[in-house]
Amino acid sequence: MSAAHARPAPDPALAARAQRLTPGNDGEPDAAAEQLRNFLYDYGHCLDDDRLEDWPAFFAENGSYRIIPRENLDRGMTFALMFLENRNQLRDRVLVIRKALVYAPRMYCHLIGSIRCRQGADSGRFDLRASCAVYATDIVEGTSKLFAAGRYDGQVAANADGLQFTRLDLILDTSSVDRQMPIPL
Amino acid sequence: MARWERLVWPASDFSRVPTGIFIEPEVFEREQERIFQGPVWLFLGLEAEIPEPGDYFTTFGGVTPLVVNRAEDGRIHVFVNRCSHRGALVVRDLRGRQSRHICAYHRWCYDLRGSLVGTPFRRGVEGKGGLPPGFDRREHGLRPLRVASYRGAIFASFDPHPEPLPDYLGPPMRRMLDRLFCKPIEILGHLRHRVDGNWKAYFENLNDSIHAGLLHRLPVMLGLWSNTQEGAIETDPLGRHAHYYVKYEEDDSALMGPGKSPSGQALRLADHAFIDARDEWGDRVSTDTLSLFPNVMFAQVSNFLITEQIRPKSAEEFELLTTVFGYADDDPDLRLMRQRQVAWLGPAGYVGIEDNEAGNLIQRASRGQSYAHSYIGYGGVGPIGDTDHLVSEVSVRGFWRYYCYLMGYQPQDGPPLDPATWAAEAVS
Ligand SMILES: [Fe+2]
Repeated sequence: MSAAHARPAPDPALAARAQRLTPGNDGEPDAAAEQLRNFLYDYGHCLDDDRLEDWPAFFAENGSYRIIPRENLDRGMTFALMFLENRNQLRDRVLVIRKALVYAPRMYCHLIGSIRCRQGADSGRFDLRASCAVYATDIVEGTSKLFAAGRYDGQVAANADGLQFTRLDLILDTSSVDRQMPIPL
Repeated sequence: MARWERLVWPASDFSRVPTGIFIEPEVFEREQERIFQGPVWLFLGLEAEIPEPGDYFTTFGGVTPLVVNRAEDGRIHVFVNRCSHRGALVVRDLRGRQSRHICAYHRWCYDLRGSLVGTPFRRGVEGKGGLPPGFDRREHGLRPLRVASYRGAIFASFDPHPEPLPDYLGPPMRRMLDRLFCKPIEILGHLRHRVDGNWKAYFENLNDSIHAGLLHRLPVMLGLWSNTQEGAIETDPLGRHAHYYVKYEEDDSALMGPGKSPSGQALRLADHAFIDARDEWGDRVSTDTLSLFPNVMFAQVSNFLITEQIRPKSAEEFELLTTVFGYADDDPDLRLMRQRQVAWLGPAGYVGIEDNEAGNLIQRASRGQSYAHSYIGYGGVGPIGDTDHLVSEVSVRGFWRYYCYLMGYQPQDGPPLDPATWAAEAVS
């Protein structure tokens, strides 16, 4: 192994800081962080697999989901292009997509990274931020393109049902979005 | 013969539209000159976006980049965002506040009226170089457009002598705007999306009320739409714009409070929050839309209030800029309602998505079919004017007639197009 690949000795100050910032600060910090990361990856896979019916279960009963153009947020406006306030509204969106809507179905591919989670104000609550790029594939044409880029900003609660979003906002850097955004990202 | 000229309009009732109009690049280029830089008024934005002197935003007139700003005297000026020196973009961001606009390339400086007020190295450096002795800054301003506002909506024209804006709008259109901008507004946000289709297919969609109950299944399934409900379409005297409205039923079945649910729904929603609406004007009008030739729709859909500026990018792509607003005196419940009702329109809206999809379906079917024709016949092919029902595409023909007049197209089976005769035909 070359020197460049050698693992540096842990910096005690840095390790202490990481401990403070990592959720589940109870002796198993890495396990909790790992759980949160996997939760977010599962969320992306659920949408990528077109298992929309499973999507609301990632949210608590009163969990909200919004897609907000960053162009608005940077001006202090929170106006969202998708605005769902609770799990019933999430279920309704899926119902409309499946039963009523005329649109061009796409395949989606979420690339989620740079995940950072912190212990929230209440125990069992975590603030979560991640970067995300979504590629969309036109099923007829067969071509893929970058559909949206942005970040997730959410709050996750750990309870008897496992992890659930009490809030998930997707802040879109892509302010001039594709014509087809019926599907949550 | 140029390609745009080879497209044929066989019928003077405008019931037949040549398919190439949606895809030919040459048609698109001609539209920029004859329409967007022609004798029309282009909608550019709302005065509420630039309340203070020095406030500006950038936008587009057709494909041409424009700057809209408010000068020290409170007046709004619009100019082409192109430096008169070497043609670089002067204002490079979306919006802001500045007392001067300075081109980054050679630092030519313009005031808020677009006049050139500063030129570096005018007399050269140590006597060398510099601009010619006869150089007159007054001849090198930014290219100005004519500007007029109606009820806080800003319009501009490349034509130095356009018809007065109130006349261009016409009485029914002014009435719609009077109602929509009945009191001070507050901008709530912008939504933008791109459609891989032709901008005119979108205009056809706006002017066609018959598709509402056919393409858009959700309002029908929820019992919010029926083709027999009270509504009408009005046009201006030249038939180029269209105002369309629908009223709630007398029993207010569409005005549902939480927990109320109309009977006979084919789709059962768990939460009706986005359908919940308030009759803000006391006139039972549930949907009130105005499409103004050639680049804007104004709409009230329930309590969702928007302007939608159409920005053509090429024959095969356009952008829609949706500006969402409320009134300054909104209570918090009403504000929340306006946000919830984004469920209908915009890039993720149940109705908006389907209209975008229709535009794309036309685009995909048009390739290689430039000399085919589409057919427009609902509501009959008689005079272009108002209809007191919604089973109509008459105002789509009105759009095409004015389009042809500006583009220099002549239908094959009639006399030369003469707008002077149109108003009389409409009432006959
Ligand atoms: Fe529509």
